[in-house]
Amino acid sequence: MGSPLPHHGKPPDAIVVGSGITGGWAAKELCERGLQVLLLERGPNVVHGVDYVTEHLAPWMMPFRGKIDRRRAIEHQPIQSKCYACDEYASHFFVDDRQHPYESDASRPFSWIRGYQLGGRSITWGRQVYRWSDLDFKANAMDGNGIPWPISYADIASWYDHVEDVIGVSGNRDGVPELPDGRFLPPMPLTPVEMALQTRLQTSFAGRRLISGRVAVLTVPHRGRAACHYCGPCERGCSLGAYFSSLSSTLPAAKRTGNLQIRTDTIVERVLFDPSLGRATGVAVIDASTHAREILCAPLIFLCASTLASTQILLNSRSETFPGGLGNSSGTLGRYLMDHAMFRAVAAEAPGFEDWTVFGQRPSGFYIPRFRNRDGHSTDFLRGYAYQGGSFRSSWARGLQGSDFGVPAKERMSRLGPWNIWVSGFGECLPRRDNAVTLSDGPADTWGLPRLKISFAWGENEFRMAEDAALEADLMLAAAGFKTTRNVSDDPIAQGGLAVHEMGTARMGDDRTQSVLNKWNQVHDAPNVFVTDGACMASSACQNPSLTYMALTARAATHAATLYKQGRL
Amino acid sequence: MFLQGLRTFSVRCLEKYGMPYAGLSAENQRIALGVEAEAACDQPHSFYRRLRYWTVIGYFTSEVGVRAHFDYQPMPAHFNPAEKVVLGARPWIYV
Ligand SMILES: Cc1cc2nc3c(=O)[nH]c(=O)nc-3n(C[C@H](O)[C@H](O)[C@H](O)COP(=O)(O)OP(=O)(O)OC[C@H]3O[C@@H](n4cnc5c(N)ncnc54)[C@H](O)[C@@H]3O)c2cc1C
Repeated sequence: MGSPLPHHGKPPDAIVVGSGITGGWAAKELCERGLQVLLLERGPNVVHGVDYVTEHLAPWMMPFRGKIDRRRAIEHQPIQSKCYACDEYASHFFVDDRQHPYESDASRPFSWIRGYQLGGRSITWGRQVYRWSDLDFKANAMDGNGIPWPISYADIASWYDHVEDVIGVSGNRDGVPELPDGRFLPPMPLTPVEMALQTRLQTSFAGRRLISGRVAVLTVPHRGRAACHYCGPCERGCSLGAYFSSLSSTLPAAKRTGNLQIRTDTIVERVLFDPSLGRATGVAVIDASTHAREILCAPLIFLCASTLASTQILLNSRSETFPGGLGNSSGTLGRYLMDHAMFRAVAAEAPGFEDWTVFGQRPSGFYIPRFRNRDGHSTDFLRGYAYQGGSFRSSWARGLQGSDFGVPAKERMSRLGPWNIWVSGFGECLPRRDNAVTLSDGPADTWGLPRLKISFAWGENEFRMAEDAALEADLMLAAAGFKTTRNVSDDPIAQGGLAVHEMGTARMGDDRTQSVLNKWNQVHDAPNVFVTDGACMASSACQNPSLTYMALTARAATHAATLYKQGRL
Repeated sequence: MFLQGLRTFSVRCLEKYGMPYAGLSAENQRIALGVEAEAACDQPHSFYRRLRYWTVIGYFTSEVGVRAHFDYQPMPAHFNPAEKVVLGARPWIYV
């Protein structure tokens, strides 16, 4: 049984599932350590540059002027189109919801935002990258929510360095202990309005800082990739590779070793486990177009299909030995799902800066690092939140308000408007057992695979945090002399999933009765299977998570390659 | 409802001026729309509001609208967070 693909005549040493942010990293690190890698991707091929078909197109070149085709969206992307980046220019990098159904509670829906293609969501992501610190890695142990992390900052610091060196991160060395500095390229500058708020925080809000956003977009050429040209909408793809994606960075690096083979349109259905060996032997796959089934074998398996997709594969890897799914001897597989609580944005007008405007579009903004509960506990909620924000001089879109018309209206709208500034809080989500995914007993998908069923709700802690974040945002903006204009959306916290920071469901831990993975991202029950995407997370912190996923992936891949070469895997 | 509104509006113009809106003089266009605007002032979902909304978007995302009022810069090449505003110059627009 099993037909390992001819791989330059040799079977692969490792199968990597998924080609997004983490899969690209796993492939690169394993290939660079001399392993033959077969990368399996369920979506179609995307050719860097060539397939960024909407890059630099003006709105008048688009049938719907850049706004999503509403009728098509209702039918094919009712969930994906809730994500800000899924507009007419970029909707082809998001899945068709009808083709890729899942179940979630109608009264508290979870929006599963996905990109099934070579490069995954690394094409459309927001590129904000922040390190975690021990404030985050020790949080579970401190307050008893979740289980203690099996690693601390010291275990991952050098991997953050390594990742930042490769992807290129623009940022400032700000000296904020809870948000460790990294290896940065020159930062993207702040606007005068942002600098005014920065100064105000310094003088009137002890312990609060406003810093330049740290972003995986190049301000100077870096490793063969060009610097940003500030055109704006990165999510359409960047043929110059100015922002980090698998397509611009990790996959080309993996290819250069000559050790990489990529198979697109190949859906991994489950991992095969041999109880007599106590290890996995390969994966069962389905050809996305012909539906042909096949078995592919390799001694090492990396699941990097994204948080929920990797867990879905594990849950579906049911066997006599593991009736609840591979790696589920603890009963925790699928549980402790988290996303960041994305709070309602607060916007304000900033008078007094009319002599200035910006030139170019900065693909980043500013960041106010977490300031709550850093030394001990002083609020009615646990842990904390951080704000992302930005500012700009408003343009014609402000004309959508008002009722004037005709030539004077046109003139008014085409003049530079007032400065606007906005902040939006991202709160840490506590790990809760009941926020969980399972396989549905209902109808299977097009390929005969059970659908995922997602149960998720925000808790009291997140709602308290949201209240505090709204209040504090108002206070800070007002202190800077800005006039809060309106709350941009209605819900205090956006629907689960819409921060697109879904994580957990196969958490790491030292205690194998309470966790799925060990401190090297190895499945306790099947040590030659590694899960290195967001599924592994034991808590969520409040920083955007992908940098941490990348660092954990690089660390795990290096560990796996070492063990493998020593014959210990 | 929006299409229905357009129809009603066209009929109104025809009845009052004997011509569709597009054929009216600038002054009469102003008056005709002014009537709609006044009738709609406190109704957020009125025909006028929608008409205005889509007209503003349509105009400022059209090549004519963008080039008439803005300095179109699809490839800025650098970012300056504090560029001095030049009085009378057309503002930049990027996408
Ligand atoms: C609009 C947007 C903005 C974001 N902004 C940020 C940000 O600023 N900072 C940040 O840190 N994060 C951000 N994120 C989140 C970030 O994109 C994800 O955390 C990251 O992409 C996760 O990497 P991954 O490799 O786990 O998954 P993905 O990048 O999603 O890649 C998974 C890949 O696996 C493939 N796959 C899935 N199932 C299977 C299967 N069964 N068989 C084979 N292949 C499979 C998929 O097709 C996909 O290509 C953002 C996301 C979006 C959409």
